Amino acid sequence: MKDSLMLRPRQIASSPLNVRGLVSGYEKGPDIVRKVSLTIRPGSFVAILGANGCGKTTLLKTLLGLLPARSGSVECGGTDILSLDEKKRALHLAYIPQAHRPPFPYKVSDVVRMGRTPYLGRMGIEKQEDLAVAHACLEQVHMECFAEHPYTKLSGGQKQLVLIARALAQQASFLIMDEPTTSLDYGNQFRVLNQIRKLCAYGMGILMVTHDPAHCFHAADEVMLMEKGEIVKDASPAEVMTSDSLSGLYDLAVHVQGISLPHHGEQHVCIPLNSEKQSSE
Amino acid sequence: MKKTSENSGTPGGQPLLLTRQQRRLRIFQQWWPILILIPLALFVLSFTLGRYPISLQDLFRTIYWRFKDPSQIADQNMKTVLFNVRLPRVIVVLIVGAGISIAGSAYQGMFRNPLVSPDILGVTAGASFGAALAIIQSETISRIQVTALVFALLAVFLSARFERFMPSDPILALVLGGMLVKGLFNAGLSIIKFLADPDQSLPAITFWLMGSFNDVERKHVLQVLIPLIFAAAILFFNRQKLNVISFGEEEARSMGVNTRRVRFTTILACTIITASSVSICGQIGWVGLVIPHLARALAGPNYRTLLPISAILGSAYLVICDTICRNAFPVELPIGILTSVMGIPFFAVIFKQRAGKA
Repeated sequence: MKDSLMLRPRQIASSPLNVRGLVSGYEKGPDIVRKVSLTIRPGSFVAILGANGCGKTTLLKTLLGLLPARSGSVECGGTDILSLDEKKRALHLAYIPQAHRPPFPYKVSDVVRMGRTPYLGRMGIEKQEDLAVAHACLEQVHMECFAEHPYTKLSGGQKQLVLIARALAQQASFLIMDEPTTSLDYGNQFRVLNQIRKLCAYGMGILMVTHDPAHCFHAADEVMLMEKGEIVKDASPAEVMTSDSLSGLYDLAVHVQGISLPHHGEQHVCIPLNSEKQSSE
Repeated sequence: MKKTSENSGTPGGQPLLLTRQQRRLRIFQQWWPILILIPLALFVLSFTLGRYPISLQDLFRTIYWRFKDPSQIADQNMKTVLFNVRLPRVIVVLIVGAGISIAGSAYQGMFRNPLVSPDILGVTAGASFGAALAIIQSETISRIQVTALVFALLAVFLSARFERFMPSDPILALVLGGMLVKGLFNAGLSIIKFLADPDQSLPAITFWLMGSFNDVERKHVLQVLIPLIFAAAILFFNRQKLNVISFGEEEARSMGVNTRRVRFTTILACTIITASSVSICGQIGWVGLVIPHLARALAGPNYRTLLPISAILGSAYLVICDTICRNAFPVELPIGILTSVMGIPFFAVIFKQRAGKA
């Protein structure tokens, strides 16, 4: 693709994002995230799995600076990310939230152009480059034919792709995603994942929180299991997600099976077991 | 909608044809500067109409001689009416209409709610209280305006303080703060009305609350023009940030927007505009709510076009209202009454149309 250079993050990104001993929580409450350390290398896809309330979202919010860290550091190439202001942080980290309905019917192209906000000057004037990047990002997710359509009228999967394009337009080195595939139909879940997967080839580092082990097997290079605010396991999907570890994580009998498919190599499936028919202990 | 084709591999699928509504939006997005002719035409028209009718010919001749050689103007009465009474009034009406409308559109984005009006932080309640306070002390008109301005600013300052009470949801905190402050100043206003002299001050307070451009003089033009230019520039420079902030606090911050600073500058700008307007002409309801909706229906919600179109339509609308007030009845009608009477059905129509399309 001729425009692929435009999609390449500018800051990068030979240096990984290093998180060391991060602790955070809400207001005066207890620590939710406890001494989390992790590394995201450029071009790698890292997924975090964990039960509800284990602190995944809190971790992401702390990384994005939406919540103050109580201790620990987030560093990339010698820059302390936590001490940056919003504008400079947005050049390192982009965020893809779950698609929701904004109060006003913005055009799809307007939504993608919002990703260029950190590059605007004091007068808020958009340069030719900003428009070109926004358009290239929309093409990257194959949504350019919807540029003039109202974002509010798109389907969930289309909205999610537009949000990915918006994050791409930010040209940050790392993408942070909070369950981007929730509320999408089965096909769209994996199409969106494939789109995200492609971004790794441009040198972006990706951190995704998900609830579905199948998504980790499908797309991730590295999986972390999170339990009670701590990362308990961190390795390749096949190593981390075993029957035992997933059963423990979700407190549910789970069986993970490797299957060898013709043309597709070794694949894994994850099967929840019915505890009434088959007692787990 | 038909989704997916096997080749594309995205949920994008087939491109949809633009609907008629979307084509209309595009036309307005490109050609909106032409709309500026509407308030200009209304400006000239409104100028000729009034207690002292002036024909278009006389109007242009007088303006011509005013600059060429003032001694040539035969009718000195006409000169006074034109330049000391009617011209300042129509200009102030244009500016106030534009200002209240852009303040309303900025607040609707910031509060992420299309039903917000510029009043939300209690600017009008504060101004009303201040004006009433000055009226019962039999102050002059300019003292009444200054007191109204001071209390309008005080009300917004108090509301804005509530932002800190709830760091997790500053928008909700502001809305609650506005409600409390409005309640407080309205109660204060009731006390003043209760204590006021029922023959003198009470009718004066009631008239002030209905809003009027009757007391406008030449000096008021600058008093509303400077705040408008200053605040409109601030809002326009922040247009993209206002777009982003309507997607929510966390998304906006992750896109590099310092939301606290944008909120602060937006409140500052909107307060400067509305407080300077309301302190001069009293309560003018519904304009700041209705006009942003109309502008959004014409050219979409992007602040790049929404702010200028709101300003244009707002000034045109208020000039129409003021002209009707001056001419339709033997006695001048308070403009606040007319903006409500016209605004409510107008709003109902826009709302119904938009609800049908959403």
